[in-house]
Amino acid sequence: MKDTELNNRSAFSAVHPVAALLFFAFALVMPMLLLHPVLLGISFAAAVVWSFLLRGKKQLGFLLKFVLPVMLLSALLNPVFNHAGVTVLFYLRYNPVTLEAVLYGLASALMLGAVITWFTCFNAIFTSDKLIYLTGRLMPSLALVISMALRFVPLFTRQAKRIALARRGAGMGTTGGNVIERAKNGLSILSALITWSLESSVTTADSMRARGYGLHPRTSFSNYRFDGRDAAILLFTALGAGCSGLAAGFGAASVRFFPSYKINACSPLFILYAVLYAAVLLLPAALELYEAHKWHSSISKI
Amino acid sequence: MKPFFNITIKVFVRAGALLLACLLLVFAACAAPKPAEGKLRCTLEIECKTILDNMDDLNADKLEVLPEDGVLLKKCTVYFDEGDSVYDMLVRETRARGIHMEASYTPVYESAYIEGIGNLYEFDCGEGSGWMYSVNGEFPNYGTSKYELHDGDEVAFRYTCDFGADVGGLMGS
Repeated sequence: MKDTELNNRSAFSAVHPVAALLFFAFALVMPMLLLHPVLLGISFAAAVVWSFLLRGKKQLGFLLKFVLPVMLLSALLNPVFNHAGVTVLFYLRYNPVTLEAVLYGLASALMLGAVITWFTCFNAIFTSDKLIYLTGRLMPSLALVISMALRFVPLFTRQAKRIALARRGAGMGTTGGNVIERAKNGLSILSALITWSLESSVTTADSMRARGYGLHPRTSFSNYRFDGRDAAILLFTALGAGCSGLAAGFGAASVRFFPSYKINACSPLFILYAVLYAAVLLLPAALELYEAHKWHSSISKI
Repeated sequence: MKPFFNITIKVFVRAGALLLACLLLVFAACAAPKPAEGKLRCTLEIECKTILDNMDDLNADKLEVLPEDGVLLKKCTVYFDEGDSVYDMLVRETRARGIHMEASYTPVYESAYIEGIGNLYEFDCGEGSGWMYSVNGEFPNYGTSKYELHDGDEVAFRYTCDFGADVGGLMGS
């Protein structure tokens, strides 16, 4: 059993959607509220660890090709456009480039990186059936329309490929012939696709009515039970949010960039809060590793 | 594994090239303004005394950059070249004295706008606060880079907390 096995079976995806949603809300909002570099670093690191557990090697490519360039760009661009700050490093044309602006750029880069990476985790965990589960009771028709619309995109691509393959088999593909012929063949694919989609929507509607759509309150494909683990996650997230509010109230996690850089990073209160913050954010990664360990040790040794 | 590492290297090369280009841009653009060679003289003064009367409105973070007497640069005589604007002179003198100054070009007015001097920015002391300049006691109603200096001019940059009324140059009057 390899570690990549986690890709298909994430422990956190079994967590009740309400608990998971609140956890993500906490993880996504905190970096935007507190621009403290230490806390941003913790958040980014925790998000990266979990995203690697969820997506494996795919995540490394995403990180190097998208997240890091975005962070680099943000860190470089801030001091070019923001010239406030008392420590002048050098002059860019007529305006000073200051240390404070560079630090602010680095902090906002970390914030962007953390938020993007948390969102990749969110996308991996929050499948459409979970969204339906959450919103189905509140706004059933809207949730249904959204989920159907989202489903139509991959469905269309797949059907278009099928039609193209069949036509190519009959010698009417889009690869041969001159431009006009190819355009004609392409249009026939589109026409077939539209015919098919109209027919399939009628079939879907018929099928839904036949199965009694709208007769009962909505039920979901997935059935989640709110158990002790979900309550623990919810409580832990709430504790983290409460402590964040307290820490902000006491100024324990305060940071100021302009006009001079002033950071509160050594007070015992801040260290206590940072440890708690890290513990909350590392919760999903810990859960994944714990479940993986349990799975490994449950395999028969015979 | 192999194609994966190739991609990684490519990304690093690309990021490195981007970084290098940015650095080149920075160093190409940071040529210092030349010191004045001419014999023409004017005076320059930079002050923000109005803030001292409006301490309640001041952004608390800016307390540490506020001079006690409200004077950032005492009235002094400086040299300039033929054709220099007030802005050219301000850039040269603040930079030579290590005074922070940020300005941006405003296309609508075809002129530079002084956003902040000594880390005291517009709006730091209430809604109607910001930098204004006067030459020989008059407040020109246009940008600093449009005002061409003359020998013997007396230039003063004053921080207003009330749209210019408190420094004697109410906008539009």
